[in-house]
Amino acid sequence: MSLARVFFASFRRRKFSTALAFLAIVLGATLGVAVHVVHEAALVELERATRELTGEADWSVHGGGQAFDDALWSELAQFPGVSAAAPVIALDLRLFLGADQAPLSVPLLAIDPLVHLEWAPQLALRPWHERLDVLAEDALFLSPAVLEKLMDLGGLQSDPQGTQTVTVLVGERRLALRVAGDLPGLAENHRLAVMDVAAAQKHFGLQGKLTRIDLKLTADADLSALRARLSPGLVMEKPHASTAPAARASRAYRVNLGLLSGLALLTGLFLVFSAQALSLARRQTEFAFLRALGMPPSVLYAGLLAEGGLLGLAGSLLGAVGGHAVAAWALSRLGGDLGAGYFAGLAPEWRFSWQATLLFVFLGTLAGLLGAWLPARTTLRMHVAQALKALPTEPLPLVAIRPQWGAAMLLVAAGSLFLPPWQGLPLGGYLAVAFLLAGALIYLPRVSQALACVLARNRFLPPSGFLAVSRIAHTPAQSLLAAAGVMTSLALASAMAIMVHAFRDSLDHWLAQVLPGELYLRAVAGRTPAGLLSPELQEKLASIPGIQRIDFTRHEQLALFPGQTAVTLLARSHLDVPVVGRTAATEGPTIWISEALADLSGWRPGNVVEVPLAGALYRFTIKGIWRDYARQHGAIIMELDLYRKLTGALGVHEATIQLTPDADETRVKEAIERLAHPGTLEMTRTVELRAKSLAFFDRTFLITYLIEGVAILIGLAGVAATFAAIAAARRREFGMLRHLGLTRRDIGLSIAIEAGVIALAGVSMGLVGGFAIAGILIEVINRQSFHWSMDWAIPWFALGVFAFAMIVLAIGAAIAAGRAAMQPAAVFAVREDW
Amino acid sequence: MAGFGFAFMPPMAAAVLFPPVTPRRLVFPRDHGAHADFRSEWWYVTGWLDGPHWSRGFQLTFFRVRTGHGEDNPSRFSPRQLLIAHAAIADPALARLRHAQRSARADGLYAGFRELTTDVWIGEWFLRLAEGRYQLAAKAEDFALALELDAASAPLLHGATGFSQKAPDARHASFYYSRPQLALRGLLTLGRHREAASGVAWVDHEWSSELLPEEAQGWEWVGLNFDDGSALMAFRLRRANGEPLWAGASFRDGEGRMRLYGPSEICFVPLRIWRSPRTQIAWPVEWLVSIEGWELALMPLFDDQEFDARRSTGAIYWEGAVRVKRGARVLGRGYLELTGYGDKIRVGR
Repeated sequence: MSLARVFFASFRRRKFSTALAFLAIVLGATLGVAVHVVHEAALVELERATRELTGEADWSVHGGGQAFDDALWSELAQFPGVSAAAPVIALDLRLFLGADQAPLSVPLLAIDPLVHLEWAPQLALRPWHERLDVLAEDALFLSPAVLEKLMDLGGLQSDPQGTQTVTVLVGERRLALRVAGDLPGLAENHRLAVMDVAAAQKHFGLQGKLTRIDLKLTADADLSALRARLSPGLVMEKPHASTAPAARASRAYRVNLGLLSGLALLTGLFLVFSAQALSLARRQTEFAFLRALGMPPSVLYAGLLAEGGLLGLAGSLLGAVGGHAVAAWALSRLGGDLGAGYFAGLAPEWRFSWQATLLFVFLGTLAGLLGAWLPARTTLRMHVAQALKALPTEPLPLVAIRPQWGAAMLLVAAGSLFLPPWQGLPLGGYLAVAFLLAGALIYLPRVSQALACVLARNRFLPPSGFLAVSRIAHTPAQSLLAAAGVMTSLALASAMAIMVHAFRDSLDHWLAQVLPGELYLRAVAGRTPAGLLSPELQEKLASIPGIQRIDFTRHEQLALFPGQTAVTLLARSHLDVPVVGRTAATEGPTIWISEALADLSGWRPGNVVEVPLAGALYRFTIKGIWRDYARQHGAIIMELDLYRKLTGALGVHEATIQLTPDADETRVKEAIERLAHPGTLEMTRTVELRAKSLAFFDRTFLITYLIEGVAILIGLAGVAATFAAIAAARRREFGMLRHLGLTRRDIGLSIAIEAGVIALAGVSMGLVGGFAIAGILIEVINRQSFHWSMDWAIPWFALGVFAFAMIVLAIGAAIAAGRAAMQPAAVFAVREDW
Repeated sequence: MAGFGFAFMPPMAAAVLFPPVTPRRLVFPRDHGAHADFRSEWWYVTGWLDGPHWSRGFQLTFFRVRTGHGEDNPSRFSPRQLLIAHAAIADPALARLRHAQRSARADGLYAGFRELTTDVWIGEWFLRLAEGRYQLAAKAEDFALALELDAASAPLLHGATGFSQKAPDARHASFYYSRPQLALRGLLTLGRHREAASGVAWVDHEWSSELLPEEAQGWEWVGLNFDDGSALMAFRLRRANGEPLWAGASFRDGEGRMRLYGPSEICFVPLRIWRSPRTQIAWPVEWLVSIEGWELALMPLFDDQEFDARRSTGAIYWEGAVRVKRGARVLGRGYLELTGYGDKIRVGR
């Protein structure tokens, strides 16, 4: 006798529930592997790109993006122990492609080509005409990837002599630069433009400034003496250290996606469990027979485990293949951060990941095994003689767990909320969610029993109702199975819905506050030194008729903490920002810090802190904390006038414009456009900008929604399958009831009431759990992984529809299955028993 | 001609006027210093170092180039004036050059030059003339040089006044003088091993705006210190087909008597070819130089004295210590320079 036929053949008999469990595991593994592969590829690419840009440099000195005085270069180049020092200006260039096209963004590296040749041969410039062009002021060298892109988009202009030029956007001006050659040493997909450092200083208003110095040191160099020479705001680190913050920043995002995949695997586990539990209950007689024939219990046990394990293995293998496929698609379409914006400008390459494959095949198989384990153990404990006679046994000992355990789980959940984040990850929050669900699961049968008791006290309950109630009271295991599915999927779905709704709502309010006025204006060149609007333009703007008020903002990057991503400084004309919590009474110069910065630095309102600006340290009092959804690495806000007084820098990056009530918006726009070179300024109505931001929000959450939706659908189908299977397993019972004189209608009503009560229990527990988990998501998980708070907002309508749909679906599924079970003649159903 | 310059071509956009080289009497010490208006300039030091049991050659050259770029850019990184330095040690025990090169913009701090006298530096590499002595230093990963040269005798002006014609058209010329027979003392470091050395050195200083005509492919140059105290500088420019284009030589005997030779009196005949395993370039490393019937054989200290300077000046050249012989008798020692055997050499143009 083939054992495979005994065990695996049963899959065929319950194709639907087997397929569901399989699908959930496939989904979990696919998602997990895809996220892993995409991220691995992005990090490999990020590291390679960083290596390409820094070559063999031992150390990099930088101010987090803020430009610093280039006198430091002369000093460092002559410092004992420094064998070479390379001056660098790194910024983002916007190449003009035409009035109707968005500009092409290309990272620019301005270097001393002669010095760089010695240690970064991959950055070798290949002049097409004159060798000395590498030093020419009007010359730009483009990587093959950029050239190709420009040719595709028509961004290259040729003159009759065959000289090709590109138009670079600088503030409100346009600058034509000659494409003098290419960068043959760079990787095919690496987008980069290179020019001489002196030329960049001249063109981009960075006279006397650098953004980075790369150093090669001798073995005996004195690092601390070198560091002591750096002015405030400058850090010296290993070049590869700059990839670490990006990896850290995207980690929370990645972990959240990874958790969704875990959720899908968990759903799979649950589905395997419920399918196996019911299937084994139905196959009891069969197994008892095999045991009576002499099959050792260990073989039976192993066979039953193998059923689940095989399902998990097959599902996760398929998922691993699917995951790699999805990753390949996502990398080509969405980029290495799945559209979240962490690795802009990189084009990572797909590669096979053994690590991810093995991990998720293991997890998937484990889910299958665990799902099969408890039902298998129950089957093993059966009384052979009784089972042969097909006396019904309770399939699960789960309900025997004492309520104290539930209380303990909830206590642990509450306790883990207070755990600090582990390496920036909100593990405490995730633990709390897991324990909360476990605790709720233990209480679930009691809730449905309590509901049944309440119903039982109702004098108007028909006999079929009593039947339903007493079934719930006496077979808690089956009702647990059904209700658990309802509860879990509703809890997770509603939690997610509440969180996203609250987030979106808070974002909407926030946008209104940070984007006041009617018009938003900025240089297309962006928030780099190349994107500064000149003081002359600012003055002219203010005198345009129809403008009631104009607020300017300047952006700056500050390396506040070594090893961390730079903190953004916003200098704004007015400080009407969204405030969180209390504000302190302050004297002298003040700043506001964002929630992320408060978490990162431990700074609190009222503290006096030192902030480096333009090479000097200044003391500020922290006035308060502001909410910032835009910058996860932290941001400081100060008054523009104060910033100008301290740094002497007058340029600004953007402006919000409030019109007079009678102003003609089109006229004002035209007047503004006349002040600048065509194509250099970008004007958006703030209303549109807000809408765009919300659309972007929705897009970032789209993948989350999608996966969540699929997981819930599978969960729902699982619930329906569970109800159907329970009803189907009760064919003998229905036959008996028919013999006792109950009509099909009565039995149908009884099934409906039973399903309804169970679903109601699941839904109510699910909603309670959902609110609790939403709370954990909002107050702990988001707070710890993204460092921003949000105000509660609850999508009552969506939750109501969802809860109602759950109950209707459960009742519908149970009635449909009950009908099917009542189809054969009642006589036969009874005869089966004896 | 002691050196060569840049394969860099003149910038199209630059509206820079480089002064022409027209005959004039050189004035010292001013003309020891830099001539920043001219396109290219170099200070070139070679010589033989002698230790207790060894003899090695050395070279240290500083090139200055006015690029025509960034003339009005106030940036400290403005590439108006570039400085490039080459250093090499010819050690027969290694049988190839140890060499290093540096490039920098002359910002006057990290790298720079002075006009009053010879004083040029890039970081800790320098060459300067003070109180009748040249001092120089260069440091690379596997070697270091720190020498003092006694510049007691007067400069040897080529072309009589220091105006050195390089082609039939007198437009192609340079200001050029040499300091032969300089007694040297100093320290040579190879790896971790530092040794005292003495010997005889040669200094060249040459500047120009339009050195070579278009048809010049490269040149042979030799600077020889004879054991009797006399000195000879000879050069020949070649066309692409190998035919001579121009030649010149200056001889000064121990008593300071000068003798100049023109193109018709000088003949360079290659005796033996060595092919570089790295670049596949065939270098004629042994020569017979005859000047007005006076025959001198040049024998290299060893064959592989190829210097790959594509990263700085853009050229590959052969710059080697040689012995000069007549028959079996060694008459003196010096340096031989070969250019244009790979790609065509271009100086400032």
